[in-house]
Amino acid sequence: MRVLVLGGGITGLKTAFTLSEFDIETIIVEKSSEIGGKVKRYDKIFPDFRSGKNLVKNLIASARNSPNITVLENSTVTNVAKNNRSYTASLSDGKIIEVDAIILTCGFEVFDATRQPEYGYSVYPNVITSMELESFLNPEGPTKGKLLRPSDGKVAKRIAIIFCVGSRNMKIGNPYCSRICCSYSTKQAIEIKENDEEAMVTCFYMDIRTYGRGFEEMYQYAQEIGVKYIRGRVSECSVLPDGNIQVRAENTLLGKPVQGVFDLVSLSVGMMPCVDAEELAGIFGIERGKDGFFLSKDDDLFPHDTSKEGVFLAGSITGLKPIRDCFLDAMSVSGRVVSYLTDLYKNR
Amino acid sequence: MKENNSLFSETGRESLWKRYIKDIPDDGYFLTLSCILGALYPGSEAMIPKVYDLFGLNWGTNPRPESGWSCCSGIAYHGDIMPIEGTLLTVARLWSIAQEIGVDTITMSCVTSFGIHCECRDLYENEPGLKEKIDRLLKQSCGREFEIPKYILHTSDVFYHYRNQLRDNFMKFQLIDKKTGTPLNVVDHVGCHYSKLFPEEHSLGGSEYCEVLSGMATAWGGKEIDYPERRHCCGMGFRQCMISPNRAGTMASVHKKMKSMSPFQPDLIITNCPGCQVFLDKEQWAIYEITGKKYFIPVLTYQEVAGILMGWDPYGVVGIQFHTVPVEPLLDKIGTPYNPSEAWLGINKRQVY
Repeated sequence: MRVLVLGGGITGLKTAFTLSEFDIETIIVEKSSEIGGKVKRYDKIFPDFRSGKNLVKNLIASARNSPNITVLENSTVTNVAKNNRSYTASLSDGKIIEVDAIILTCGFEVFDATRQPEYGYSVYPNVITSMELESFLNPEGPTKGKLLRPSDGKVAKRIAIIFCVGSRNMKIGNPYCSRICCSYSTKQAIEIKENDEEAMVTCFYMDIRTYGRGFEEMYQYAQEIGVKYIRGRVSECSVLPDGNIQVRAENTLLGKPVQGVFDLVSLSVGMMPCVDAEELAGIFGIERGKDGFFLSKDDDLFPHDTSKEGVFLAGSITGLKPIRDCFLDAMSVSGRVVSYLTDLYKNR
Repeated sequence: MKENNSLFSETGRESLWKRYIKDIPDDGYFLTLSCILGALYPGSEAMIPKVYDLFGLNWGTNPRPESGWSCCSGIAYHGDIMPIEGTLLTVARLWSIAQEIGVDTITMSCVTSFGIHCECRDLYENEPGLKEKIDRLLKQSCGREFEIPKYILHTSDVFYHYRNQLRDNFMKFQLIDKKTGTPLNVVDHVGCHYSKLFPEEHSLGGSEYCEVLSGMATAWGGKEIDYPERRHCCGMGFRQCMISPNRAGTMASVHKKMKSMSPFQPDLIITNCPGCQVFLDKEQWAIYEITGKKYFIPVLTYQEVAGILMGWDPYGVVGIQFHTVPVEPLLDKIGTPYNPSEAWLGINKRQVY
């Protein structure tokens, strides 16, 4: 029994590892030069503030040490052909592999903040994205964990975090909620306050959607340590002569327009379908929804199955999920694939 | 501001505005005039055909009453005294006149009018049966026929299109301080009905980083200033400027903009909307009268800036004497010669004022 897992992020790694425990041979095909996905760049993850890097390090080690797992980096699938009940996959590096099933775990892409030009990302240096903030907060990052303004290197004391950038926005064609931004932004706000008690952190939000176990408690804790939450969408960021950023918003609880001046503004960017989603949908002949994410056969009854027999989906390829849900998805799809392969081999 | 002061990335801005590019044909323009620009800043509007002629362009207009040429009715529409059908009919008639003289690009010097023409086209594209209805009404009312024009351009689009040729072939001066050799700080104020109604289709650079005026200013030597209230409306708004009790709204808007831009020490404000030009210029005096705060930042239309840089007579051609905020300090910075005693000379050098 052999399975191809396309995507070497946390879902792909966990899926491969789980299948390997059933003695199923797995080939992970990863387009980048290194497996581990985006999580390996996160110093701390929510809600328990454990190290994302260490979490992924263990997964990578498990995958590399497993005799049932083969990792192919810098590679992707360029074509697939169905042969009776198996698949022949052609890879970009010229390899051709025969597999019984394929699991797509290609994850997501981060929203391009320049698509909301009213916030001035890429125009004003002191407007950064949450991914950049994450690297600033990382002790091993470019600023060694210090929150320094890109324009002049001064320590930022007044920080605004703007939620829902690229999410729940009809104008840019992303009506969906990215689900994880409220929580990761709150985690970042806590980190800023814990690193520097005097820092003033203001979060501009539409609604707070901290729905997972421990997420709401994290939000409560953020407020207890002094993170300020203002309900209202930011309309515009502008630069002042000293490089500070003026943020204009509506406080929808007070019913008033508000504006404030900050040293640094972080845009909590939402998530998009993976960049090669369209190409992959064409190669595998499976459908995507209006939001661009892949469609499963039935969201409730067959959440991992696709319209093509033997091709399965897991992780954020079907919509955004926090890390914890990605792991659950990985284990769930493994169970489904084991069941599929058992049937397949029974009938041979 | 350029990248060297680290507050503003020109590269980043450019990547944003380049998403919103529109086609600007080289030639064949029908020119419609503003209701107020020619009356309040006469040199400004007269310079549009002068510049068209500089390039030997094929353009046309027909302001004779017997031609049926009229205003676009935008003031009446936005003032709520004329329904949209009346405006559609008026604009259809203008398009018909343009097509009669064989051009398919409508250019107008008024930003409100630009918004009106764009809105009409948008309505035709999105309202099934509307074109047929207006066809019928136009035929009934004046026996004319019309087609939706291929291009709707504001005259600032045309100036933007030819900005580099204007600089290279005709300009004698630049937006550079003659004494220090440094670029002048230029604040652009783009009319709302140019950039905010249909930013994707009709605004060069979209609404957030509109390029139409800043592109001219930088091409002509100036330094673009970005300030917090850059996109704020001048406050003209027909319901403010037409209704007496609301007039303070206009002044408050201008004051807000002035307070926001003054720390950046602008040398001039460049506009493309007749209404914005009027209120940004004249309200500065009113603000001074009421608060004692003397901003007095010269406000010029892009045509006036072009005329001054081409070395045209600041009084006889450009008409800076019609400005409330004196423009002469700006001329001193640029190094343009001028003779204040000629400010109010009429025909045969007769003193008219």
